[in-house]
Amino acid sequence: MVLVVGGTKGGSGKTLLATNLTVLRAVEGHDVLLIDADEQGSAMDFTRQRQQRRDGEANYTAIQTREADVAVQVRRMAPKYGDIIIDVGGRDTASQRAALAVADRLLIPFSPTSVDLWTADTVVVLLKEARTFNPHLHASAIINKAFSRGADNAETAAILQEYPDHWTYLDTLIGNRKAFSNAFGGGQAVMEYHPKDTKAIREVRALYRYIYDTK
Amino acid sequence: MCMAVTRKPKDEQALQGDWQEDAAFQYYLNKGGSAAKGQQEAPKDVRFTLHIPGALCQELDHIRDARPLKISRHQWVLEAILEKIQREGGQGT
Repeated sequence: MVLVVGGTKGGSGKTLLATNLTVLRAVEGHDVLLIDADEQGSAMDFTRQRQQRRDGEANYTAIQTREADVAVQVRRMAPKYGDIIIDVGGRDTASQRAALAVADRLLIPFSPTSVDLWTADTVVVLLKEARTFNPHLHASAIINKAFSRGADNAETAAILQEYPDHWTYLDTLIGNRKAFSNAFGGGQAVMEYHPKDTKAIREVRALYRYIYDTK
Repeated sequence: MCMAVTRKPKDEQALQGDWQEDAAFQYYLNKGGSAAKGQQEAPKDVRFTLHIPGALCQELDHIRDARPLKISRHQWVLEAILEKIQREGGQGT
């Protein structure tokens, strides 16, 4: 499966989800290629950090490329890797468009804030255009960086469910937990991080099951 | 003949086969911005020493003194530059 973690808003946690899903998929025995199509290069930084921690072995392959070459690399690498996960930057870029033209699935994280939700319509436009070239692109929206209290998560969920023609809303939240950022900084997925944050692990596993166990 | 020195390939040459011929796909791609362009930094401030005739500076100071709220020479000169840029069709941003 070729999975893009995308959207048009920066800071929604795309790289964090992409790297966690990559590690979890690899740990489960799959041959995974992580493509960093964001010029910030945070997924590659994560991979380098991970390699240093693990004597050079990240347990997946990572490359960095951009714009049209993202699509070229996916086409070239898809027969060699069971899974490709693409992290794109938080803007409507040629790199994201190229990725969407060749992907099976798009995962769109939204933080439960107005400023994130206001990008929903621009994502819809992007999806419509991408589907003219890739009609089978399946999209899912998820709340990332969910708050631990308050009505914001529920209000965000209600708005994200207003787009059934464009994406499936995933009724599982990823919390705004320190364990995610601490693990990321050390080149680890949250399930590898100590002290264990069982809620964070449970959330990522639920997302993983949704992505890879549902057709 | 095989050339030892070649030009740097253009971005669009990264696309091969059917895509390279597809103008609609190129249009779709190009509607997305380049991250590099979007992340360009704003130009840094420039410092230089300004030499102006003493009489001109005196006149400048008199005008500043006549203001109800005083501003520095530096601020006054910046305002003057801005006004001139706008008069000559610039944005003065």
